[in-house]
Amino acid sequence: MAEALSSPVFGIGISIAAYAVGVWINKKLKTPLANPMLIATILLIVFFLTTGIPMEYYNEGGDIINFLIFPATASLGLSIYANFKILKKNLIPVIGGCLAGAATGVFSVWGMCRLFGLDETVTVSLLPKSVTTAIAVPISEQNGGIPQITIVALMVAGIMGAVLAPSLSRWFHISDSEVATGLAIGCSSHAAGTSTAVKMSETIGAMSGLAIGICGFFTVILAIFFPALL
Amino acid sequence: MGILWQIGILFGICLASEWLVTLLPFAFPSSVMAMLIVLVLLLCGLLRIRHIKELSVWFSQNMGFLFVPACTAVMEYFDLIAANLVPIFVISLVSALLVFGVTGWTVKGLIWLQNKLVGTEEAKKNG
Repeated sequence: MAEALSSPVFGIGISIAAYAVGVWINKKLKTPLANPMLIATILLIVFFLTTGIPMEYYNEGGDIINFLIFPATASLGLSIYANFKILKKNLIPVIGGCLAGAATGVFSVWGMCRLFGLDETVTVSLLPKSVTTAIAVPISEQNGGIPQITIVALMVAGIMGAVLAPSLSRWFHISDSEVATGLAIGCSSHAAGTSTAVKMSETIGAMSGLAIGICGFFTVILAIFFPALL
Repeated sequence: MGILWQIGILFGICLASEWLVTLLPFAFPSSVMAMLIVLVLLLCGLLRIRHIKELSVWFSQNMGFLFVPACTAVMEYFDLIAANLVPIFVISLVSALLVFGVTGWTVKGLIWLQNKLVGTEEAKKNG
């Protein structure tokens, strides 16, 4: 049995199965709270806790999936390129808004981490939390953070945006501007928020998608200065 | 273009980015460097959308799945996360709200400013 479990096929197979259940539940419940990645993670954690199967076995396959994040991140360049026309049309608001959003994300997290007295590792794990997972995780790792803490923070921000985006745009009195609403959603709640933005309107969805890339780019630049903040 | 070619192109770019980041005087994630290379090559016309289209679409549609093992590894840091759960939750939530507000208001302000400037210029032109 151990031989079968230590094959990479086990980790990959069980991840696909758990994610498939997540997608199925998401389609049934039709709520952003039922995020397939979140459901798959909970299922796998429960599975490993109850069966006692060591994580080393799972990691044989898990590491192969992890590796694919690298080329997947590279391919994000294509989605930024696809939105380039919209970027050119709204250049100043997009660049200005995303720069302000990225800086607010980094400095608000830094200030609150100081306030809560969190250590360096947790702080650096939280600093890139305003960008999409594929960009936030390597920034966190590169600066000595723990990617899993980054992912938890990303999920909180993402799911909040996905659930509350329409209400937030009214509360902040920006609902009269589709460009402002879309960029605010993309900068604060990245891909999860964009899934809601797309349903609000085509322009809001496109702006939100664009904000993921541009805000990510600015955060990468700001990340160069993370060591100075710690 | 065939999927194997697309994999080859994207992996080639990833390899080049691994090398490029070693030349930088500061820490920079190689995956983000690869993303920038893809964008620059597309803008220069050296890379065409069709060269990586199917593979990129597949990746973007399955991005959530690719993070499942990384999320599951939360188990290994359960004590650390549990000990800091309230601050992590509060910081993530408050910061996301601040980013939402600041981004939205900056964009609205810039659009207003832009319209005002354009209006002034047009008024000048019209005498």
